[in-house]
Amino acid sequence: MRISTAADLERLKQEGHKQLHPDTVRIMVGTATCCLARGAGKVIKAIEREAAAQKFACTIVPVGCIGLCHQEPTVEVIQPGKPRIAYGPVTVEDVPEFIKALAAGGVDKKRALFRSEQEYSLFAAEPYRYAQGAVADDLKEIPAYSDVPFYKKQVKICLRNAGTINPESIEEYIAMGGYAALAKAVTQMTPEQVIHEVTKSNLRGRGGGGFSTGKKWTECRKAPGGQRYVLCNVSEGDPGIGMHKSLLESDPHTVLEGLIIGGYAIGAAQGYIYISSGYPLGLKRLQKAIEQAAAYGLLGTNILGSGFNFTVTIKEGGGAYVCGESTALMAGLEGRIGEPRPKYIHTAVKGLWDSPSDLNNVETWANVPVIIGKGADWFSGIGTGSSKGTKVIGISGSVKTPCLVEVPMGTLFKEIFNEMGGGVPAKRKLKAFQTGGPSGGVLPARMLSLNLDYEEMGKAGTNLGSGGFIAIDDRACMVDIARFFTQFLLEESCGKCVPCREGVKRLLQLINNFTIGIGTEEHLTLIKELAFAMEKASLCDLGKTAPSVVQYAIKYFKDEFEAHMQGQCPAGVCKDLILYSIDAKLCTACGACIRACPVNAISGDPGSAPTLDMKKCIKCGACKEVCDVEAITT
Amino acid sequence: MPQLTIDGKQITAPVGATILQVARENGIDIPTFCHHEALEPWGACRLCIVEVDEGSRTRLVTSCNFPVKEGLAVTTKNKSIIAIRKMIIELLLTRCPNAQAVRQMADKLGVTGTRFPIENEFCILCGMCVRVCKEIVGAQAISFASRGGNKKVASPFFKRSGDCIGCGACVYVCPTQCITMNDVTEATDVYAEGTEQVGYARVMNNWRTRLPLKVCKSCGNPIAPEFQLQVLGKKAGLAPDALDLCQGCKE
Ligand SMILES: Cc1cc2nc3c(=O)[nH]c(=O)nc-3n(C[C@H](O)[C@H](O)[C@H](O)COP(=O)(O)O)c2cc1C
Ligand code: SF4
Ligand code: SF4
Ligand code: SF4
Ligand code: FES
Repeated sequence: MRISTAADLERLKQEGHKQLHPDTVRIMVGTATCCLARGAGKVIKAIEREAAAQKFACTIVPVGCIGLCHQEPTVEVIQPGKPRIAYGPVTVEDVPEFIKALAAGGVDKKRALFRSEQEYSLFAAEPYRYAQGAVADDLKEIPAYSDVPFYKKQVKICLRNAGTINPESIEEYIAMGGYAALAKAVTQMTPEQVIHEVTKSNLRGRGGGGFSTGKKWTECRKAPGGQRYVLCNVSEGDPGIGMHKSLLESDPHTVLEGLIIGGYAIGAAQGYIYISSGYPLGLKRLQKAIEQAAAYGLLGTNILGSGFNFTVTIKEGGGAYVCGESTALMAGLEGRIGEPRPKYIHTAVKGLWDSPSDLNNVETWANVPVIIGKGADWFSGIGTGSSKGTKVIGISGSVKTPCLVEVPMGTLFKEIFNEMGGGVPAKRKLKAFQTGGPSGGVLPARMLSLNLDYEEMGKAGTNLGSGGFIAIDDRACMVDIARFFTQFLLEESCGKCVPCREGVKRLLQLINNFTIGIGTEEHLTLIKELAFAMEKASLCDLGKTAPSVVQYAIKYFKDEFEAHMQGQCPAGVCKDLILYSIDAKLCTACGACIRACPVNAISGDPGSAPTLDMKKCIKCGACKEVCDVEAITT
Repeated sequence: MPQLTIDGKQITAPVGATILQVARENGIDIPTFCHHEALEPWGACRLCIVEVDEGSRTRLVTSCNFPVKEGLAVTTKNKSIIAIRKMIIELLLTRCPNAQAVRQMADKLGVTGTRFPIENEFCILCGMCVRVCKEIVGAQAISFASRGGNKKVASPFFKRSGDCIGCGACVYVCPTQCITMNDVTEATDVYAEGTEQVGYARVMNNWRTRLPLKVCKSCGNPIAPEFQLQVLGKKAGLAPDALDLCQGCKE
């Protein structure tokens, strides 16, 4: 069936509603890559098996990620007339008991995380209520969604449907108000009006640069030339939690709808989605989304009777970090090596095949349907003075609960870290945090008072990057952190230009001097001098920002570099500098270290602290690992 | 035609020219290491960096590919530019301490040594060989391989190149003379059964490619690689036997 009018869309909406709220129990299993990594694939099979065995009639659907990485596999259940309840973790072993509880019409209280009385919806005039009337007494002990600290400060725009809809069902997306913004744009608005709305919303690029999306669209629309393109960047080659991939896997249609609207606004008949290789699930869901949209006539010719034609092609590219850079990405799309080229003429004017091309990040595109659907004023009501809307943040590293969240701009890092990430694990102390990936910075823990805002982060010397937040605790060595990111860049730079290719190599050698205890003041000065040339003269932003992490490490953690000059690694990470010793005051003489040491470097008599022979020690850390009272110090 | 200034000098430049072209035409020297007039700009060595003032802001750009514009004010030398060029050449001197072209450039820029532990490469990865082969020769026989610190110029998969015609353009254009080619009279090929003599051949050492040379029908002296004559003959639409004789025997 082809959707050619708004009325057709409305009919399909009813269809989707039936899928979303069936007469049977709907069991929704999170199946984004993160969930699958924790066994969700097996869980969904086990649920199917068990439901059949117990003759329990239910609808089992894969959904996206609800962000609670530490509770995965997560399962949400809608029993007709009851609140929707989230459970986690639900492992394969848990499934029989879990299904038994559901089949009996009850709730698996042991695994319940929270309940939702109504559907999270940005577009519904009246959000769908799962349960009518007051909350049943026996459910009151399960916390309400609105009371869960993890969700309290979140605002979901890009992830509005994640976990609720089946990402492979366009009907469910439409039921949640999907493609209505596209219909509005192409039937009620001129391209200029669409651009005006996006400009007014103050949406800024979520790929790291924070460039005004409206400005870029305007430049691209106005650029001379016939053929023009809209492009979507799904590279995400930086180490971290994979926010953008999760977004795409959870709700591919919002990205697609955004791209189609962008095509209309800019005057492009062709869109490309560049997705890094080795990422089959996102690719599959995206392909499916495109097929479904095309089947309904939301892609192709004369979309919704407007006369607007648009097609989308997916292109799988290399996985290197540099392939995400705009000109390298376009080179990749053209079938050339993914190397940046100088862009003294903006790619919005001269990009893919020398035609005007607008490239935006996945998350940027995902915002577009909401901006058009709800209006620029609604959108810019969220956030700070110059940073509007929300940002998806992946919280990882030394946190109690690694997770994926979407928060309004202006949210304090403190809130993100403590309330969503749960703070540092027991016995640890937060030392620093890293944002912006390899081109960002490391900031000391006290700077958690910063808020999520392009300008504020810029002032602090870092950037938002693609939204990764990595917590670093007292066990980490900042010299080693600088080494890690520099090593990453050495492997990921394209190697085209001298300051980056040769510079990163030397930078890494200089940092390594500190890790082995031969670093000097002169080396610090040389780092500074080298960094200056790299920042000013590299061809693309990879090289320009490559010295960033090490420079901020030196700026905020100079004492650690100084300690390394004295031959000490205070955190006991840099192997060459480690000298283990046993603190007799803490030692309980349990002998665990003696047994753990693979080279018999530790010896002693029962009842007194053992002694450690550094000549034999191979610095493997096994003793430190097993000591319950942390008596082995470095 | 855009009016601009370079180091304070008023200049009228042709439309579409780069800063480097205009500067050189006006006797202003800017060092370069990956630029060649006959090739498309590449922007990789970053030595040609200059500062441009477009009225609203100043920034550093590479002159070899920055198009001139009305009202542009270009500075080809200042403290930052000198410091950057010195660091770049120090980095190249670290990589290629024994390449003469690099040492000459270092001398010119007043860099006498390097503070980094040296390597012993000769190729500076300027990409001129790759570009000449693609843009001028049209063979696309070689390209860059690997990325980051391991980047190299190479024939496909580091094996014999099936597209190299042995023209030597890459040898000629390489600023550090690290591409070598030589003609041998007694080339051998190693087959499973043993070694076979194949006579005259041109060896492109870097590209692991050996091209048998065609010998003159009349005097028996080598003319040029057989494959090259085939390719060129086809391009020029010559009869198959048009290139059978060497220059001397033709006359
Ligand atoms: C080394 C490097 C890697 C990048 N990787 C990505 C990426 O993975 N995803 C992305 O959207 N942008 C990435 N960017 C930024 C893009 O060049 C570009 O600015 C962005 O896709 C534009 O979209 P936006 O305006 O919506 O942010 C990268 C930039 C550099 C220099
Ligand atoms: S800065 Fe690095 S990644 Fe960018 S073009 Fe130069 S070598 Fe390649
Ligand atoms: S000799 Fe071979 S590799 Fe060199 S330019 Fe000629 S065709 Fe290309
Ligand atoms: S071989 Fe010579 S021409 Fe080719 S990239 Fe290296 S230095 Fe340049
Ligand atoms: S000559 Fe301009 S970058 Fe090399």
